[in-house]
Amino acid sequence: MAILEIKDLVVGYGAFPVLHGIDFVVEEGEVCVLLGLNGAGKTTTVTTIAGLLRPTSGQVLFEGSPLGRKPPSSRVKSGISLSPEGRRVFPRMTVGQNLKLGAWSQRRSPALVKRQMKLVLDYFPRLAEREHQIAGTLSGGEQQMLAVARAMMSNPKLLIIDEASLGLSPTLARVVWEATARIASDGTTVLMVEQNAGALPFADRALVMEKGTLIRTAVGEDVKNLDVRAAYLGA
Amino acid sequence: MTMMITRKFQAVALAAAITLTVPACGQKSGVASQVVVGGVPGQVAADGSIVPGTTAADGSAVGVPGATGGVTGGTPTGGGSTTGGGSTTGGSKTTPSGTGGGGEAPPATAPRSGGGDTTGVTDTTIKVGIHAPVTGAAAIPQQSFEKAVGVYFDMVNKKGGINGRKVEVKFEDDQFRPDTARARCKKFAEQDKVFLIIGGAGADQIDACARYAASASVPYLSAGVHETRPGQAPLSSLSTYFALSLTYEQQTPLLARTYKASYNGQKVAVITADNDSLDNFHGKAVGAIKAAAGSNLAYERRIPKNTTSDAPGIAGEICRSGAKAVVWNASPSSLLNVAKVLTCKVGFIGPGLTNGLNIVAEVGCDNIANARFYSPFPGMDVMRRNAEFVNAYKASNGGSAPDDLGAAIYGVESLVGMILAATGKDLSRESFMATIGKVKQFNNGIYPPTNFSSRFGGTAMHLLRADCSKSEFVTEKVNVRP
Amino acid sequence: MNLPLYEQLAIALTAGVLRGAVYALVALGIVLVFRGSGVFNFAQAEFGTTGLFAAYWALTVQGWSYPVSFAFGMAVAIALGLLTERLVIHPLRDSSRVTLLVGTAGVALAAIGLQFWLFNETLVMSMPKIHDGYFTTPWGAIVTMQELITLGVLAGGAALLALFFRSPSGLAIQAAQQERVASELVGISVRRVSMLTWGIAAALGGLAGILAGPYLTFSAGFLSFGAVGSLLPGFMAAVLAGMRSMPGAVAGGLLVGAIEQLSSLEVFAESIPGAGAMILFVFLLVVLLVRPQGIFVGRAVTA
Repeated sequence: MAILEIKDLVVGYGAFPVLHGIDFVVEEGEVCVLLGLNGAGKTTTVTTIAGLLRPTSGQVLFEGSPLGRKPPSSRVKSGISLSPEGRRVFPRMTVGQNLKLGAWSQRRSPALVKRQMKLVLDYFPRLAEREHQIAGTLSGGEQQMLAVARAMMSNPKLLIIDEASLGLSPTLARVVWEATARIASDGTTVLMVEQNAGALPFADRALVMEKGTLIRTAVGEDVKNLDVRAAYLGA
Repeated sequence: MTMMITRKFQAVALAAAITLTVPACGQKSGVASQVVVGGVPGQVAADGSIVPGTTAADGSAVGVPGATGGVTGGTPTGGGSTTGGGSTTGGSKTTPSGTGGGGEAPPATAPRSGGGDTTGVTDTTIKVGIHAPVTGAAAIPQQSFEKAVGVYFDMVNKKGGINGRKVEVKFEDDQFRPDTARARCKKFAEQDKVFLIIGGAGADQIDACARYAASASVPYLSAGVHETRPGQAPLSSLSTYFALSLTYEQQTPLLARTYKASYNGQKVAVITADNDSLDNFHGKAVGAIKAAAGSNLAYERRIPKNTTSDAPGIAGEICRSGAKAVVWNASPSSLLNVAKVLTCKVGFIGPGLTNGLNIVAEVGCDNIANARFYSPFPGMDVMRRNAEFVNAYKASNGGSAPDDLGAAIYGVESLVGMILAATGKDLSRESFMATIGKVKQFNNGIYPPTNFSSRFGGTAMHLLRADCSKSEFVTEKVNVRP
Repeated sequence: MNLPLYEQLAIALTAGVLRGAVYALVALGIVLVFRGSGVFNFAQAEFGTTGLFAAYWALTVQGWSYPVSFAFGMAVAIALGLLTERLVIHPLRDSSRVTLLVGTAGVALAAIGLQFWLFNETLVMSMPKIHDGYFTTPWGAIVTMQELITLGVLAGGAALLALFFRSPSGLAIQAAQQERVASELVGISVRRVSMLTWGIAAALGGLAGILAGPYLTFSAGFLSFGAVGSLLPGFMAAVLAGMRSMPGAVAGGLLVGAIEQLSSLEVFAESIPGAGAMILFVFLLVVLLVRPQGIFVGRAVTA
């Protein structure tokens, strides 16, 4: 069953459309990678899904029902969590406080928050060591882990990670992806936005975007055969 | 034209000065005449003569000793029989007047030529300018002056005017700023072409306007304020200025006496605003208090014109000095602020402020309980019983009850009205000013009687006391002479 | 009568710290809003005057009891703060800081105009103190109970704020200040946080106004430029706190008050009228030259 369904989505900044009507689905439990060059419209797509941007037309359906004009806070409550581009950790707070805030939408269920805390620290042991460190002083890789971990704190059904590998060494990028794969195998659907084709081995589904349109989709075995270079060149 | 008038005026002034300074010559019929009306403002009859007020609203409180019967012939024309004023022969020198309290003698007589400067006067109207702070002065309710100005003249106009002329009042807001006051008075003189200007309130504004008025040869009248201002000619030297009540300086013996009467042997402080026009007053007040209190003068200080955030510091120093009495001459709002933060009980004593005091009592009680201030007009306890005033005020203001600023302006206006009436039908600036010098004594029953042997015509003050049970200043004593 | 200098100094510093308590309350509000919205809030002091006018109206015109009047004044102050957020700050949230600054100055002027308009008949107002008592310190300074209460409220308020900022809601406010987008994404309503910030700031202003009002008489613009003009001193204190530190705002307020009162020393009082403002500006200038980031800048975050 499709957990996320995008239907003819058009999004623009002012009069200039950035997305020219895209359609895709993400099935429950899978890892989906949204590939594309800078400016292809990937971030616009996921921020629209998270509710930070309003579509000009088209629909986003989550678990079968349209999200309409729901604000980000109610989307996170219903299970969509975005780890944004650029990490955007709370810089003058500790790692622990960042994580606690990640569970803001679930703050009325302390038991759940406790469980999630234990869970994400298990996914990212390095954060456990740095629980009392000020987030702004973490390394880039650690901040990325924190961003993903914070997004997981709300116990989402759909975790969206925007550009996890950006600015990370290949080794560190791998660490983040592997953790993401674990998260997915534990039952959370993951939508990853990437420029880096190195994420493909972790994906069940790959979507390639260019200039605001979806130019290629690959599912299952096809992902491994996806000619990324060709895709990027628009061939 | 202007030239001619100026010339002529100088000649008149000179002649007048001579006349006044030579007693034998000056004390002709005019000097003896006294315009006194018991209790209430003089009624100005249609024919221009001044007749005694009919019923005293409260004669006992405000009445001048001997005033009850003391209406002598208020020769309205200024004594038509008098000589045409001292001869204008050149060469005669003026000698200092021995009569004035330092003030230069005003003109005593004027030529009865029928000429003179008649700016602002027609056969049927007299144009009068009044300035007062409608805006800008803390502690003065904005509409008070607007309501107060013109009340007296309205009433007079309804009764036919003064010597058949209606008084047309031009009112300007001087914004409590001397430069604005000067500009407004310039407008009075040049655009409105008023006959004379009345200073409603505010010492510095009165000072600024009076100086301009003198330069423009416009008669200027106000309640007494300071006498001198550093770097400038004394007000007494202005050729058109007349103070209708005692100056601050002239009141210093009263302040010392009040201290002695109520606080003898106790410590006393002298607080004066730092306006330079009060330098002379402050010196004299400190001198007078020192003479009365000796080493009990515990503290003296000049404070900012508008004391707000300095108030706690000043109050602290007053209390630390141990003073039980404070001689105070600064704005009512400063008084309120200092009184509010006082942590000790002191009695304030002050000279007559041109701004109303009741707001101080309303807001400042109990901190200013029993404060004694001198005033050119009596407290509202007396003024409310002055039916003519109350009715006139209500008639002009849609029935609203008068406040003390209403009384203040009414007092000035009625005094000016009396002088206008006394000048007679043949009204010019020269004859008007000559009348002041010749008649000298005017008594409208509100202001203490005048005696213009100098430009400072005041003879006495009323003593008011803050009665906190009524939240206003009440009249303790009238016509207290220095 | 001439006290020795050290005694004058002790008296001035006592008076300064007491006055500084009002500045500190204003400075706390300024810092809070700056951290929350990045706005120099010129209306901060007028929240206080408006609250004071409301309390005055309730107490002297309506004859309500002191606690009720006080609460009413606070409610009006907070309402004005929320209204400012809703009508000025939120609609202009994407404008430049200068636009926002002008917006808050507009709110201040509107508030002053409103005070003038509604209280035209009583230009000078006075409100009774909560407690009329006073005492003299051993070094001769006079301390009124009202001032002491204000100092106490400042201490209590600062402590409560510190506690609040450690609570989840306080953490959310700080999160929104630090990372708006991420706050939205974790489900914090940035809008609500903004309202909360302005509400608290206005409450601090209200406290300053209603507590300082009874010190002296007051008229429109009282807490900005009037008898207890706290807007500029408040800003100075906030600048000393680097516009960010809450404890710094408290310390800055007290320090600014103390320095200002040095003008009451005989050396200055006699010779230089308005010495207070001058001393203060010279001090601020020196501080900004030596330590542009402020002097009471603690570590990055209070929590």
